Amino acid sequence: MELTRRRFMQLGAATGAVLAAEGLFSHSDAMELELGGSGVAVDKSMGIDNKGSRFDKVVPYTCLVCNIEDGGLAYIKDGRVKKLEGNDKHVSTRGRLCAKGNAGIGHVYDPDRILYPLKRTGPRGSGQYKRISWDEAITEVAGKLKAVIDSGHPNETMVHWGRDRSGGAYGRFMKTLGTNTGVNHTSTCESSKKIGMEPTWGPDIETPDFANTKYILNFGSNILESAYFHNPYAQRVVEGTVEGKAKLVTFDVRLSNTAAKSDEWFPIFPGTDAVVALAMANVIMSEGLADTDFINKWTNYPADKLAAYLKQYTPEMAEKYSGMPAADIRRIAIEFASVKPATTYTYRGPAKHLYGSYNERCTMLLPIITGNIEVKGGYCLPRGMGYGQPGDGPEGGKEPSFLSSPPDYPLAGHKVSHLVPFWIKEGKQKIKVLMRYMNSAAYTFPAASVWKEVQMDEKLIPFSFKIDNQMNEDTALFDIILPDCSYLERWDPESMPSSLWPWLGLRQPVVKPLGEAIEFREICKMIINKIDPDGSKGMKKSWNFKDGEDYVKQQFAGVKGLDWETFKKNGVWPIYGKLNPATGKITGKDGNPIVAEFGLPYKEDPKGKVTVDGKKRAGFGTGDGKINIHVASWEKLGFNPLPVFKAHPWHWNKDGSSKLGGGQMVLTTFKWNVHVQSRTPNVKLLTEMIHSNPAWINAGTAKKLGIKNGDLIRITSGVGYIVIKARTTEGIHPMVVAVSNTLGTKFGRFATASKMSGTGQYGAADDADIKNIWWKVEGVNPNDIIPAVADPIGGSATWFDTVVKVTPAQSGDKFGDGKVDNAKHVEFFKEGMQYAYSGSKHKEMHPEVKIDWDKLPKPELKKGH
Amino acid sequence: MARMTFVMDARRCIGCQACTVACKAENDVPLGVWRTQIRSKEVGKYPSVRRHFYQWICAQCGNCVEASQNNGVGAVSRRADGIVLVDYEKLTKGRTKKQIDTEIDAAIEACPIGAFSRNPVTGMPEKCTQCAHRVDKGLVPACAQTCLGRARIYGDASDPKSEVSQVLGRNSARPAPPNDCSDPYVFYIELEGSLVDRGALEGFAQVKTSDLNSGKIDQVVNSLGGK
Repeated sequence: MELTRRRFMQLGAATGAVLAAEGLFSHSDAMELELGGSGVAVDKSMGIDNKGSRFDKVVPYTCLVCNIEDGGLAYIKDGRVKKLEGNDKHVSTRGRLCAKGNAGIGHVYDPDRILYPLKRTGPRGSGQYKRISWDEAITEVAGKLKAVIDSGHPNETMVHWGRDRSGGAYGRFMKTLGTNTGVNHTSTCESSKKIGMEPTWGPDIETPDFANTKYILNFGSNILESAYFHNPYAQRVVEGTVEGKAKLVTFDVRLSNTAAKSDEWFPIFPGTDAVVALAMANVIMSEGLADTDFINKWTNYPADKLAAYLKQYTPEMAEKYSGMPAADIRRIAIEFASVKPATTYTYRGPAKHLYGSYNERCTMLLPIITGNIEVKGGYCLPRGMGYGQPGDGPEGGKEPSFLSSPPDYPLAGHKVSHLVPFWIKEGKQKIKVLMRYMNSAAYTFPAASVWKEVQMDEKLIPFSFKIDNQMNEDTALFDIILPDCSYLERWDPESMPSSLWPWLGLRQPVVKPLGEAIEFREICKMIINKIDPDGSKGMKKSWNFKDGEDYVKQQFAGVKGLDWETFKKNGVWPIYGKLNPATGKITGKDGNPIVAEFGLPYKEDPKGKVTVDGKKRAGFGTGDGKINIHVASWEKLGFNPLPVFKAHPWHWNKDGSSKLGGGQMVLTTFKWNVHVQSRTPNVKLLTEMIHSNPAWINAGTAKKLGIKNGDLIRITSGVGYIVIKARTTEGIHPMVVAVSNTLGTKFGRFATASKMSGTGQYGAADDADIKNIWWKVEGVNPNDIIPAVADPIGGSATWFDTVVKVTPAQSGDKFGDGKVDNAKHVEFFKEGMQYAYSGSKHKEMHPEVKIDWDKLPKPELKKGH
Repeated sequence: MARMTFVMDARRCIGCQACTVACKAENDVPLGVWRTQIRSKEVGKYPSVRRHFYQWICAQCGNCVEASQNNGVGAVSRRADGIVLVDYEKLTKGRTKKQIDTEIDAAIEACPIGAFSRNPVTGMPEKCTQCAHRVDKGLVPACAQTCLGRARIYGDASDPKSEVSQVLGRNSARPAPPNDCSDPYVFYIELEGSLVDRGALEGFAQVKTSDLNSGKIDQVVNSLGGK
């Protein structure tokens, strides 16, 4: 067994020999924090001549390994990136990068990177490609797009983006083509959280003041490892908990590192966050600990009515579903309401369930009823900062798109992207050209196998092209691949509400793009210029910019006080102060740590739409300027307008007893702190740390099932199974099995531990470290066996609801085996749609909603939401 | 006299591995060896479970210096500020292969926490230098610079005004385990007791001369994915 942990080193004739000492520091350049990096210090005692190890320049950039957008500094020597460090001028990330950000060089010098345009030569999915010229590639792509435009049905071009940070370039491209068939990836992420929050208080996210809080209730966010906003929030959670002695309580089915660092961890049953939160709210109201004055003045629901409504959610009822003892629910509720300031935080945990939007609204109730909204140390509004779009923007198409705005999900304003392949199969909308950017749906989405089926089908998708630089399970399905720049080689405008101080950031090329890589917006421009060479179609004028810099510069032109050249030099704006290395905090001109502004909605404002205490005030971003505990627009569609708990019909009988038996469990996925889904497995420094993703299973459960640590097991869902290794642990709910969705790719030498050295298949240079790969990769991706179901309100994929059976592997099962039945996927999709407001199960799920059910509006195809 | 000291605050370590990667990127440490690493250990029974993190790094204790001096070559020495470094010229110039191997192995054997290794690419010693090249420029080591939780406080413990001195003065800190690190310059605040045993320290194997000769190295990353 130990063989798996052995590394066979290939030192050849040099075994045991000592290489020249000069070689040791040949790549090792010390870093300087000053912009402009005038030089480096060298330890002379090492006796090594380091001449030539000075940097040529330091370029600030904004990270994009995940979506937190940390500020970074790239140290450049001889046109190569040598080291990445945090940008000390960045108010949010304050000079620090996470593990993924520190390893970012691996995205530029990926030895398997695609560095020139590729055209498919074999059947789809065969992986057979030939190198073609940019001109040939653009001519073909433009020809296909033009044919769609000329046909008079521009919506037959589908633009599918994912982690897009182009700042609107894809939207401009779509509008120029006249298509409204734009599909994103937000439903695989946190969209139900957004949809829960938006009607309640305006924005789609909160910015808790972790650094100054005294109590944090964390519902299902793994903020110390990933998620929004890992780096900046991890910094502040540690400040709050260690320096401020705040208490951190985490609800999560798995002992994440966040749960592990919490004062208390409650592994509640999946999807029961709502009932725990409602029971706590009930306790707080009943005990007289609520801020009734705040509720009555600043929400649209009176405190006494709310208290009466919440009475049904007793801690005992919550215990029945969640497994969290009623006494603990009471105790934590009283603690939370007695300590000020306090905040909650959520991310995907509550949101990725059938009624994720309800779950989010339930947890949000806790900071609302305790008056912790928008106070120092509390649950604050996000501080955003905007930028513009260049002039001469295209008008856009007029035809509504089913795939972009599915009529059965009228509240899902962030779309329902994961159901799109099923709708394409059903013929809901005809697609002639599929374009994809920063997204690998046939690998990273639930029911990935259905995406693959649709993308393989030349009748359903006659032509497809992708802008990407990484060959993977998804990229390998496209007809033309256009080599994208890495995030360190391109321009993008940035802003994220990741701190209580708003900021604008810049992504700019720190080195010239490798090979023939070209950035997204320039590719779009090339395509449009090919379709409309003389401008007679009126398309070309919207792409009248010199290059990426010119485009992004125009986007910031309207920002008062921002000087472009200074912005490029600093990478971020505004500069609030100087990073104090002794405290890790930003110090202002007065020598003290900078202080954020609070109470934004409460400020007097003659133009405000809400009157409180006899004065007009700025208010919240809702229709009446108040926090909407009651959301009337939901009720019109038969949804409960109040925060409510719905037991998942897959998991619970109507009488509240569990439906699961006979080894049935709930499958959940998670992210490692050193990986994102598809872009990091070929980054050597990250995969060296995490290269296997065993299934986490509770030690007690495993024992009952006859499973030992390291055993091969089968995880079988309603659509198929995977064969994977078990990792038995005390750190997971006994009814939950967890598999990360990072590993399992068959592409990339570091990602697959292939020690074949040499130039990459698509033109990238070799990495000398390939021969030092010592690990064996053991990855299995669970996405194929996760059915695609959507929250009928928020449209989010229900990642964490899948019922599975876990058994020891059967004879003949090999690691990595698996089988999936797409016909079963279709059945699940159809069942899932019955929960939509137009579906057969909607009314049954909402007996408490008193409306005229016969008069529900009919699903209607509309442009946008 | 400066005394460059690390204080590792386990309360602030979130196990994010930013330090591990920053160190490798800064010092071009090849695959298979590390100068620092976050190791973790789960303790307890469901649902009362914790995961503890241990910021594994060379304690700059000087055991390897002593071994090196006793071996006769004396290529490993302690600088005036306390940082233990290898003089590569002294190690290699005019030496036979056997002298070099003996010198490196003596240092490897002397290290109680496995923080002295051979670089599988260069064959040269591989150990934490506390990023001396940065320290000499007034910068902190790369791992401390990027630490999200500011769990690695670095500075001169002989300067009462330094943050390191203040942190040491305000908290009870103790040296890294085990006790046979003779003169450590790295201290821990609230390091979980169960991590102090040698078992928890077996994160990855030192690369020794015999490993280079046999071409076989046992390697383990004590990560949650591995074990």
